[in-house]
Amino acid sequence: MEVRVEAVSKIWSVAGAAPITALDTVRHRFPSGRFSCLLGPSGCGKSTLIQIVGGLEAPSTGTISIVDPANGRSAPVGASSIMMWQGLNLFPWRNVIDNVAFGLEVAGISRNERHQRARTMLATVGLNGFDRHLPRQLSGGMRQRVALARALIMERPILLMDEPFAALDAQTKIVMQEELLRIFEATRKTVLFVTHAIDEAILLGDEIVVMTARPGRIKEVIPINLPRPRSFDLVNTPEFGALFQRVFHLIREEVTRAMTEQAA
Amino acid sequence: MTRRRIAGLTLPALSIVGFIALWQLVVELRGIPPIYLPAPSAIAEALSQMALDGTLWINLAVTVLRIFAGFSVAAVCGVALGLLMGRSHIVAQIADPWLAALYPLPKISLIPLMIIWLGTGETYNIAMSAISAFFPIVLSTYAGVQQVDQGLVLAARDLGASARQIQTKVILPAAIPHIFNGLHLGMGVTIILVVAAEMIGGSDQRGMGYLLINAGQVMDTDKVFASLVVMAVIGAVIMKLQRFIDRRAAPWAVNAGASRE
Amino acid sequence: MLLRILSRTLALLLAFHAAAAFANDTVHVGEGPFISGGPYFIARDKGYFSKLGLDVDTRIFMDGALAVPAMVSGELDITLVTMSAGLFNSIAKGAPMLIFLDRGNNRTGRGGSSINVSNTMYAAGVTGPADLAKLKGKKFGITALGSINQYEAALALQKAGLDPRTDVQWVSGASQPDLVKMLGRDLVDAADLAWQFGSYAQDQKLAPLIMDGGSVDKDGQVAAYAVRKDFVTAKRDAAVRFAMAIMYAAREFNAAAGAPADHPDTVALLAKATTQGKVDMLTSFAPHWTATSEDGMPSTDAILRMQDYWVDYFHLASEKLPASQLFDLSIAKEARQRLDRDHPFDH
Repeated sequence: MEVRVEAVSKIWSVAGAAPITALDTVRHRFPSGRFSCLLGPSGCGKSTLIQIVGGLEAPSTGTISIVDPANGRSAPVGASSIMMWQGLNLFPWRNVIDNVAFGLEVAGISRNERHQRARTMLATVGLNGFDRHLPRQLSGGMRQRVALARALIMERPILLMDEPFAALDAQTKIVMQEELLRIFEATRKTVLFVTHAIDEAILLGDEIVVMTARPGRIKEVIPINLPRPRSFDLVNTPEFGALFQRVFHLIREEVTRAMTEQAA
Repeated sequence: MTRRRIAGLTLPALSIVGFIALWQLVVELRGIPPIYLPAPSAIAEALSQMALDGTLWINLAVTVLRIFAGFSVAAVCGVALGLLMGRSHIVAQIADPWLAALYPLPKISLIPLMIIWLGTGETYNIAMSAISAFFPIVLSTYAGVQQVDQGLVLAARDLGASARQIQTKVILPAAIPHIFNGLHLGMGVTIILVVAAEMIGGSDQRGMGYLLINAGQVMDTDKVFASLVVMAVIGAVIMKLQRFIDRRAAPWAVNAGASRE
Repeated sequence: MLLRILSRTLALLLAFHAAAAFANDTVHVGEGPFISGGPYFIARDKGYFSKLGLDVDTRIFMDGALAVPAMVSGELDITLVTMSAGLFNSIAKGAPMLIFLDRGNNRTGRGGSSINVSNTMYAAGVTGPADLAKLKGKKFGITALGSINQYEAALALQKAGLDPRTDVQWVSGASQPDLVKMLGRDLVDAADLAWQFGSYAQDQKLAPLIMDGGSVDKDGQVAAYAVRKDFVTAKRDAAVRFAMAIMYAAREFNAAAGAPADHPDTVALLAKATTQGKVDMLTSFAPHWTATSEDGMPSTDAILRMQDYWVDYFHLASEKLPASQLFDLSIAKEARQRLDRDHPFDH
């Protein structure tokens, strides 16, 4: 599924102050079956953008359309994508299997069937035997897998991810990144992945959409032509290093601008 | 019972037994007249007398039934209104001034008015306790709903939950810890008000409050103390039972904080 | 000259000595806003106490039962006590007090309590003492269990052939004004009230007054004064003087009750202390103000009979005390002697 962002702006009105323009006329076509990374400094509107893509936030101007490239037909906005949240948003009172099966439960699927599918999905993300555990009894990495399983079980064509690995320690992060690469390889969904880690964006993405500091616009789109399937070894290659330099310079001035604006 | 639990009960049990023994000794050795302080032995005798002739069981049963009836009414109405207030801003705005104004009123002061409206039968008694328990329950429920992590609501929406499903599958469970707190406060208040209502308007002549006031009227201090002991024990049992039910109904809520990482 | 100075000095010294010897004693007294306490208010407001060298510090209790704990705690030296199971229980449990002076009896037919029934019951035929049998299974209102009100009501029911322990439902704990309201709303079917409230209920058409409560116990003792034991030990003379003032005032009180129009000052004083100054209300139920005997003697027979009743019949009191543990009548006797001998109020 292709995601077309057409002239989307988002303006927040603030009581007693000037309105804040989070996004300013963003235009982009996220290609179907590709892994697109949104990269930019804090406050540049990347999270807002993917929430708008996911139908969870309304744009102030502009539209989102989801198009099947095979036949040109549109698909509904909210139902075509699924979100994996920065804070994971696992339901703390539900155990692992009931968290994963939540989307199926609200769709009316029977208990036996949804639990069976959930178990399968948990095996896919490498989390076996923790069905009855509560989220608080799991480590950070394990919770990530639960959140991923809960999203993937919905089998929606578009996967939206908002800095999902930001809170993880370095080793777990690597493991999860490789896990995600493997899953992407197997499912070839359209993925929109928000991050502010340059190396992560290069490792995972087919393209990097670099955004400016607020008000958020697309500064540049950098294609990443590294071959798939990928693994973490890529990080040490000269191609990786060159891309890193290029993206770094592009983003540096935006980061500085964001910092001065926040200090002001 | 595990060994640890037995050990954990020993110290409290010892302190109670020790206190009673000390009390008995002081009363006997100092020759304190019973009108100042009855001896535990006299209280125990009054208690066994009440148990043997049946007055204890009948009145206790009546009071306990009233407690559960009043509490149930308050719990159902309080939680329902609290959830509704959380869901509808309009309802919240309408209800808010009334709750703020009526909550601080000591409900005991309403008793004469309630007697005028409702007489002194079961309706009055249950109404008194339900009204008192209603306020902490509704306010805690509303607070619980308001503090629900909106991220969870968004996640549920994203996963396809309808508004009603969000209410029952996200908001309600997320608010449970606060709701339980409110239910605890409500239960404590219920017990107090049931007994108070029995004491003040007890024309139907049953209940622990009735026993208390009657014994008090004729200065039967042994019976007064015995009734108080019974109420204290019952109160403790009910609160412990409530904790137990909490743990069964919502195990994640009772021990929040036992997380790894 | 020297003789004059000496005699003047001697006179001064004698005067100081006399003043020191008769420095006023303070007595803390528990009373209530009831007409039965009339002699006390007369003695206080007309200066009989101070004439005898007593400073009375009055504490008012809406319910006589509340005065007993205050005496036990030492706050009161002398207090009104109504005859009740609670009083017997208190003394049996070691309350350090003795009954020493009459404060209200039925002997002269001036009982100060009435039995009223609801309009519904009146319409159903309960119009006099003989009809009380129709109250079987009904609710009878009293201020407290074991009270003098319940005693009278129980005796009246017995006379009408009922067993007061089982044939009526006793509703207690409400104050007298509340009982009047409850009668008006059929929340109780009958009540034994102070006549003041009984006649009010009748006048307001809330509940007809059907009989004199005191008539069932013609020798009955309604209330008395009790004194703390250690006060008697330390200041017996003050207790005697208290009794003297009360007994002297009782004469005026009884006279005013019989002919209130002839004693307007006394009536006004009494109205101020008991009916918020409403003289008409007070005179409307004269002479049912309860009478206090001028010899200060409570009827010990009646009191012991009551104790038997509460212990043996109703089981509201637990122990039967002998007269020696309940009464000290020597104080009142001495007071009467001194009144007769010294006439301290006729100067």
